[in-house]
Amino acid sequence: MASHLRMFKDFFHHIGVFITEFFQKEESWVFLFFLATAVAVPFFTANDILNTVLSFIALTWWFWIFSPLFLLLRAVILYVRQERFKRSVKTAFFELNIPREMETNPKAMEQILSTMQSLRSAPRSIGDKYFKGKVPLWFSFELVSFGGKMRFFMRVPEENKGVVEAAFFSYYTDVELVEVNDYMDTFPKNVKGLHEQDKEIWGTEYILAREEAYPIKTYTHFESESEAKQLDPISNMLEVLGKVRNEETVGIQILAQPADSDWSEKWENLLTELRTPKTVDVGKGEDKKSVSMHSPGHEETLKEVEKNLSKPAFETIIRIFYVSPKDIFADSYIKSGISGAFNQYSSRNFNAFKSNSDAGTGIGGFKFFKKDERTNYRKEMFFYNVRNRMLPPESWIGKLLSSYLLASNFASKKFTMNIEALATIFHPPASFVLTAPHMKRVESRKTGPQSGLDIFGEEHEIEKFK
Amino acid sequence: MEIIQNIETLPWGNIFYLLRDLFIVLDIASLFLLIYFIRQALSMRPKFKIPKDHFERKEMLKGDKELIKRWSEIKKKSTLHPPQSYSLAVIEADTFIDSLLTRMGLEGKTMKEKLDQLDPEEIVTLKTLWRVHRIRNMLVHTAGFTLSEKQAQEVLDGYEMFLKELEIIET
Repeated sequence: MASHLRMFKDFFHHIGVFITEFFQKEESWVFLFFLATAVAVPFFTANDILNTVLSFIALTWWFWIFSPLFLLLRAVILYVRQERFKRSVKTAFFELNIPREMETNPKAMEQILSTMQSLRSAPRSIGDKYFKGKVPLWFSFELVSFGGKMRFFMRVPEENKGVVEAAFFSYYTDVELVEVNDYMDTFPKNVKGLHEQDKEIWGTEYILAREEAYPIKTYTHFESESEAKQLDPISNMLEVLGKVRNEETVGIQILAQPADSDWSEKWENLLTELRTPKTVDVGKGEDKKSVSMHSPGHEETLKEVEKNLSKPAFETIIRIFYVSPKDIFADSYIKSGISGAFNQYSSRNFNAFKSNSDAGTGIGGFKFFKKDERTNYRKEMFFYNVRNRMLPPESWIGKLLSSYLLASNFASKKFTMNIEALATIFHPPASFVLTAPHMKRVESRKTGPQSGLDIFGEEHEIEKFK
Repeated sequence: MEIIQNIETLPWGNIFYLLRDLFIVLDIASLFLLIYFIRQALSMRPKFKIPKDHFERKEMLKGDKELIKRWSEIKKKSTLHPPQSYSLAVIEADTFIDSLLTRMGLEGKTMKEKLDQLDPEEIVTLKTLWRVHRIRNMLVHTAGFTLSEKQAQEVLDGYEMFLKELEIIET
């Protein structure tokens, strides 16, 4: 009896599985639709069908209009609110003064970034999202060369200032964080102003060449035990930027917005694909066997991808800009120098950086229609984004609404990069790099006062020293 | 189309019409809201009009008869009921000049922002305009400030010099 029961059970179970699988496939729905039409059509004339459809639409048009209208409205409102919010964020601008003697490696920067990632302020309620237009606040890490003098900057939301300062102080005891004025304010407001000062601008964005799941080569790949073999890829960047002429300004701006902590879930499929071993048939006839194969390179890729996905990440935008007087304007050195420096992080098995020139100041290959006006608009758009550290709008509608006819805002693209990679491309260089003469440095070592000293005065009087 | 007439006879016919009216109202409302927010969104775009040349800007409003008429009206009003009409005329003249600046394609919230974009070498009377605009500001913002006839005349003359330079009124 029991075996009969089980048989029935199995039978219905199989039917159940079949039905669920059947309805999950899009093809079956298409098939059903054709079947239904084929059955229904012989009973009606074409006129009948048309009439029914028309009267159905006449009766219910108000409903069908509503949903697309509402969705569109929602997207536009969200965009407007978010843009307002982004512009209203108060920020603090820091310069990182780096001492001559410093042993700390990028690992410390990674720790700081992981603290900063946890500051992610995602909207938690509908009110936050649609009325305040909250988006996670973003940071800006900048490496700027003023005529060959290198300076490190950081822009932080005012409300996160304390946490960031504390994090820096705990990992880089000797690095001084000094609040300074934004150097961008020394530039004119727009490219028109730059042109009036007889200056020209070039710029581009850098993005990852492959899927974000593949990591770039990080500092762990450059490290070694003996100090003589220590490499820091940032030194190449510093050398390139340090060689510009006196009147020129070159900068690398890395915008980083804390990403959701489940960012890696998007890449689950890729991971399973990588994990599935490739099988190869060996032997003939009776001896035929399937053997799973993994090349060592494949193993390594899998390992690196898993490691990459396991760390918290930032939504990143990397912008390069170059401003120079018109008569000595030569962007080819910067173009090749920067792309060479970024090329250090690439590897065939992993990922690489590439220039996203559509988001830069160039207009691409099509040069026949309104060339000057388009170039001008592109430059203005790029300079505006760099100057205000703007993140591109989230939605398609937002991108459309922030575009001009001659300069679209679609190309600028965020990509997710984990803290290890971010720490690799931006960190205070250790002392073995610091032999470079271009860096502005703090000469002497500074320490805090000993604890437990008597403090004379009231709380409010010591406020300003905090 | 027969179905439409039949709906009223159905038991849920009333609800159907109620729903329909409700949705039509919602449709119209969201359409208007959509237009409103799209206009807001477009106004938030960074503004970088390819700028008009200064020379071109100077000659933009040349020979507009409507402007001559409005200016002579303002001047006429100033003498109607002294001394209050002096202050009124000065304020009105300032608003008039401000609207001209906007029409010339200068952007900015206040007149100061607009004037900052003009080149003093290009427009000779810019300094005078600044001076009289300051007098007008004092008039508006300082309590107890009274404008004498002489001062009022000076301010209006200052504005007129600017208009003359733009060749809106003839010298």
